[in-house]
Parts: sequence; structure tokens; C-alpha cells
Amino acid sequence: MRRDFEPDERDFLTEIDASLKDVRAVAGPCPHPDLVMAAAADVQTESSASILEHVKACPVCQQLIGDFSEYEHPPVSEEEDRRIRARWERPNLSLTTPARQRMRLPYVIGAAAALVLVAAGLFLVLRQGGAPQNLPSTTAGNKGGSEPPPTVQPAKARTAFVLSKAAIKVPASAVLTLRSGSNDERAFLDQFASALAPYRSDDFAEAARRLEQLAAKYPESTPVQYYLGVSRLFLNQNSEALESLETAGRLAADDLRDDVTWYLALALDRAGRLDDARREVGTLCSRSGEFQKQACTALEELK
Amino acid sequence: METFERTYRKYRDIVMRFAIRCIGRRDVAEELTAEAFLELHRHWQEIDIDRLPSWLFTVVKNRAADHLRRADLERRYLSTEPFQLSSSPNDSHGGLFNHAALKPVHRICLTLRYVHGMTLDEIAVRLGISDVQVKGHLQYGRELLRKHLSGKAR
Repeated sequence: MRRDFEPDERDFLTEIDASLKDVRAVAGPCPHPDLVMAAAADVQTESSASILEHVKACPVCQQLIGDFSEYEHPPVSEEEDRRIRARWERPNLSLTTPARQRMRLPYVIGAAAALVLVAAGLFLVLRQGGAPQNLPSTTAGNKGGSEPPPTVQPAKARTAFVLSKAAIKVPASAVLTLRSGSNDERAFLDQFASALAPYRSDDFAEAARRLEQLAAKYPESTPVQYYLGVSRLFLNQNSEALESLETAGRLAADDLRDDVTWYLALALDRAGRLDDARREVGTLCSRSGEFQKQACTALEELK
Repeated sequence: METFERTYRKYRDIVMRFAIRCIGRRDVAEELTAEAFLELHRHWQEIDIDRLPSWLFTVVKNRAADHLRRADLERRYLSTEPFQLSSSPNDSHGGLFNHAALKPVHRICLTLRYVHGMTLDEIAVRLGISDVQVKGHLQYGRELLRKHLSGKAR
């Protein structure tokens, strides 16, 4: 019995227990209601045929399906509407629309012109000989003085980009390249589960070792590259982590997209590629999802 | 000429309802609805308007299947709990919650709670109502069924 049942509910369960027992043998155990609803709506999954078989014999599931279709669901709320719209109204996606592309053109031209001016200015200064006179004293040790010094940013307290362990997920797309139900699929999932066992217990060195072997065997696997990248972040192997996460980012389907984007942003931040990190968290911040809040905080911190 | 905004307003609610029917959960249904309209937005220039809303329904169905496969894989291979299709106390109870005074919302709450063992929050998210409302529906349902059962016993 579930712990969150109140005493009155426990009594109620006892009261209906006899009736429950009377009918338990009719159709066997009921599948999860999400799967029942999906099967009834003709959503094709591996288990939909067996679920429909069960439903035929199960008055409980039949009643549930009927009740769900009769139930008047509340209309889409303003909050839901806002979140739905955010999916295509976010800036990076709308760049694909012709109108936005036209709006963006002047900015691109402006940026290109600014680059040309900067390059021409630098060329003239160097041609006149020696390092530019107005560089700060930190360039004193910069041999040749031909490169501007790295900008020294005042240290900001960062709270959003704290590395935390990625939840374990295996999306359906993880096995899309393998034949469904085949030995290959089973072998991959078994090896992947084994590689994630040390990750579960925070042994990131062993997890990275096993995931590297798996990545060599399945180079196109998003979750393998993703968890390898996260493990490497924990090991402070930042450039290797970035490499894995960039690969995962290229391969990621929708189901792991946000997760990969978040850790990729973190790796980019560690690599000092702040513009790229900003772009990634900006994308996450503008769409609803589990990373939205922390991405928006990170975006603020990166400004 | 039909604009994307007008099309979205026209079909938003029916796509959401269809998504809820496909998946049984309002929170996931919202995600599926958003995905369907995002796809429509991406293909807006080439889409044949006459194919709506069935085109949107197909996207929802495909995404629902993806979601369930993912959830299924997670349960089977990575959950600390063994994979099961059912939750306790399950099994069929053949019309146990059938009573003329019960509405679909009461029966859904009773079934999800006492057959599938869901929490109030889990039920609330599926129905798009608050957990307080779920609690109220359950109390009403229990009282009514108790009266019914005790009347039968007499």
C-alpha cells in the first residue's frame, strides 16, 4: 500500500478489497493508464497490441477510456499558451523565417563593416611600427605586441553554472540506428546500462573509461557521447568533455536536445567560449523545459 | 489568406485535447501540442492547409509514441524499480466505481488513485485541475460508494 494514503483511504481500500478480489482474475493486471490511453488513441508502440487485447477484456480500462473521452478538459490556459508559443517565437528558431532573415541582414552587414574597420586600424598601427601605445600595461610581457591582450573581466560570482550530475535518460532515439528488438539493440542497451553503473555511483573515471569504449563502438550514439561528456566534466577533462558534448549536440534528437545543450553550454563556459555558451543558454532560456530556469539565470550571469 | 497565428488559434484547443487523449497526461500533452505547432511553423510555407488538423494529429501521435517508447526504455533498463506495466493495487474490478451519481471526473480520480495507486499530484496533472480538487472528488466518490455498498449489504 502506498505511504501517502490517508487513514480514511486505507479503510476505503479495505472496504472495496473483497470486490476487487472478486474481479481480479478477469483481465489480469492493468497496464499503466498512459499506455492504455495511447493504445486507445491508436498511438503505435511495441506494447499497443497487447494492451488493446487487455482492454478488450478489462471493464476498468474500458471505463477509464470512456471517462477520459467524456471528461471536459479545461481549455488551454494563458500560461500553457505562452509556453507553447515560446517554442516557435524564440529568436534562434525564427531566424529561419524570411522576414527575420531580412531584419537580420543590416546587423550582419554592420558587424562585417566593424570587423573590416578594426582590421584596417590594427594594420595601420602595426605598419607605423611597434605595439599600440594605448594598450594597458598588462601587454608588457606580450612578445611582439602584435596581439591584443585577453580582456580581464572582473570575477563574477557564478551560481548557475555549477556542475551537477545529469539525470539518467535513455531516449527512444538511442536505438534508432539499431533494428528494433534485435540482438544489436539488446546488446547496446546492456552495455550502455553497464557503462552507466559507475556513473550512478559517482565513479566518473570508470564511467568515462567504459563510455569511451562504447563510443568507439557506437560513435553515432547521442547518449553515449552525452554521458561521456558529462563524466569528463566531472573529471575536469574540459577539452575532451567539450569534444564529446559537441558531438552529442550534432547528433541529438529532440528527446535529449535540452540536456545536451545545457552541458554543452557549461563546457563552452569552462573553455572560455563565452559567446557560444551565451548562445546555448539563450536557446534554452527561451523555450519551456526542465533547464529553462537555470538557463535564464546563467544567461543573466553571462551578460 | 490563412496566417499561422490564425491557424494556431483555430486548432490549438482541439490539438491539445487530442494530445491529452493520446497520452492521458496534460503536462506531456502540452509538450506534444507545442511540438506539433513547431513542426507546422517549420513547414508553414509548404504545408497544404487542407491537410489540417489531421497533419497536426499525426505529429502528435508520432511524438506520443516517441515519448512512450522513451518512458518504456527508461523503465526497462535504467529504473531502479523492475519494469512493470501495472501499478498496485491493479487488476480489474468490473464496474466497481459505477454509480449513477458519479461523473467521469470522479471515476477517473477513483480509478487512478485506488486501482493505479497514483498520488494526488499525478492525478491533478493528468486532469488539469488542482490536487485540492482531486482530493474533493475522491472524498465525494468514497462517501457515495460507501453509502452504495452499505445499502447493498442491508
